[in-house]
Amino acid sequence: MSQSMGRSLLVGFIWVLGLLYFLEVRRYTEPSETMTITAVFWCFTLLAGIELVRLFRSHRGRADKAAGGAGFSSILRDKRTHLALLIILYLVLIPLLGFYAASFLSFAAFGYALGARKLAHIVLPNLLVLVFIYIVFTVLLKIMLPSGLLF
Amino acid sequence: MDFDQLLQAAGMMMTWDMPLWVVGGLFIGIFLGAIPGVSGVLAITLLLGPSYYMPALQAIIFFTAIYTGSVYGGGITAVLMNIPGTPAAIATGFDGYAMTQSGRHNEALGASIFSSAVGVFLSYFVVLLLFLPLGRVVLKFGPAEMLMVVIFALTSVGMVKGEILQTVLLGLFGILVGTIGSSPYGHARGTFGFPALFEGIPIVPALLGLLAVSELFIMVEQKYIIKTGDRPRQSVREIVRGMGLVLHHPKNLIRSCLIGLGIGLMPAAGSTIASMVSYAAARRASNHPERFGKGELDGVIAAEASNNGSEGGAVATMMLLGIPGSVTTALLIAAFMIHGMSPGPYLIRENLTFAYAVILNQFIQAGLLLVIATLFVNYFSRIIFIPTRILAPAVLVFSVVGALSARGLILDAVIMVLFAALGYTLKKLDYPYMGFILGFILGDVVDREFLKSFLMYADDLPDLFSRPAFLVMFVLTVLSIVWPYFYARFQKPKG
Repeated sequence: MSQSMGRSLLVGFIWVLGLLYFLEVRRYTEPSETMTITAVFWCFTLLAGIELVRLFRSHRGRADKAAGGAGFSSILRDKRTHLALLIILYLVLIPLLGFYAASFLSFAAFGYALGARKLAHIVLPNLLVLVFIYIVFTVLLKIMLPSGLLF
Repeated sequence: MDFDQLLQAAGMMMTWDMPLWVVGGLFIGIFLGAIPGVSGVLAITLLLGPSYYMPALQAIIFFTAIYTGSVYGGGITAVLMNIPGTPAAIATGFDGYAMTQSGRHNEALGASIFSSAVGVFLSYFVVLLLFLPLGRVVLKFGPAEMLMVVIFALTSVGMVKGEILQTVLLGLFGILVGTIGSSPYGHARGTFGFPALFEGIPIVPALLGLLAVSELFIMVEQKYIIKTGDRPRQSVREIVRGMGLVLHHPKNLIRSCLIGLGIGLMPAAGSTIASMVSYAAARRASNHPERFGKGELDGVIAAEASNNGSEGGAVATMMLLGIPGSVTTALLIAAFMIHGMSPGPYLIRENLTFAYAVILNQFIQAGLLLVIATLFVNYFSRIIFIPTRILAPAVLVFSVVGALSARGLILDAVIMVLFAALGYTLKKLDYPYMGFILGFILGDVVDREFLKSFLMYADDLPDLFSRPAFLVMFVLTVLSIVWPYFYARFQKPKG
């Protein structure tokens, strides 16, 4: 996907989000609740329109057609895909296992995905970071981190 | 200068733990500042969450120490390996690395440490002298002026980045996101049914996502931040000798500090531009301009004194007007807000002593920077060899802790991930994400000031232009929009 196409999609997407917000706020009758959002939304719409026209012109003028999307298998092999999936899994595991157990597993899995193969390379930094967090956040600052089945 | 408040501010700093926060902040800042692409921004973002639990003054001073350390830290690897840890250190590498190649690395390191410390000291000294007079001017600002200041900040960020339309567009989107939460009448606005969003989008998870987690996706594409590099050994005695050499160049040192301060005062200009402008000025003023780029000590002094000097200006603008000139000062505003303070006229009116304490502490930071950087420079230059398989998972876990530390809600971690997706997309598409951050942080201010301005001037709009401060801000905003077009037009080669 060319950059101008990507930018167009992003501008369109955030404009839709802005529109949903604007429509929700319009329900209110009190001007003080709607005035800023209305003014900002219309300025935002105007600039988004100008940006989209500019992107459309540059896309047409430069002939920077899409170089062909990456294959599904290459997306699956991409470290960024692994990272995204790991983050989602991490967030699912926190309420189930508790912060420390979920963090231990995610740290190890993430390190492995980034090329760590020796057990010491996976476990030692992991333990050091978690012990540090435990001492600073749980013991000293007394921050309540989510607990679950394990810890 | 208000001496009573100044004395009270000095008293506020007399706590046993204050030096610990300063030393800790400087260490963290120098370490992370030395890593290209990481910098002090990451450290401050990760620590914003835990700062909820710190006393306000300690938290702000800790963050400014990280800021000071990181601006200096970028210069260490620029001198030793020609790898600037931050863009602000690019100019340091021009002559610093050339000095290393000719075996004068200790001299260059000494000059960079001393110039950095003097840069911090002098710029904050000027800020201390001018803070109250400037503050009195700012106190005359009404809602319309404050609104204009925000618009000016957005357009000037756009002017510096060369993308005014995109910066203002993202800034407006940021303002919309920043106004999510309860309305002045207690109705939910833009919460999409999530009661937890009634207080607004929490600032810490959002910034963690935008700045820290989004950076992970870029970080994982490489095995090491830096793969190889030779690091010459350092000698403390030689470094101290290098510091002494700076004293033989007082004009360059003072000029560079003042250039840094002046550029730092402008929104969005920042330390990178300060070091480049100062380097060029030092070269123009030199009797031997041909030596620049080949190991000229004046080049290192100019770059380091100005990039550290710009910090004073940026922090002054942030505290006086409440607008961030860079991502780091945006994070400092977030830190103030976390502790219930609002930088700008409100800070001057209600927390002047606090602001003085922050400024006074910078003199201690300058002194400690001198000691810490001299003694530990050898260790600081090793940090860039840390593998990403350790750094990236650690950043992820710290980010999640930061997101959870405020309210303990998983929703905050989800918000962090959503903002990470937005941040990564903006970075990949080369959009100026600073515009979004500015709008997001100032959304609440815009909402409040726009409403007040409308109520005050809706029936008498021309009256606005009879207010000098409004007129000045208006002219500056228009200039920041039209200037790049005129500049480009006159720069075009003839014929």
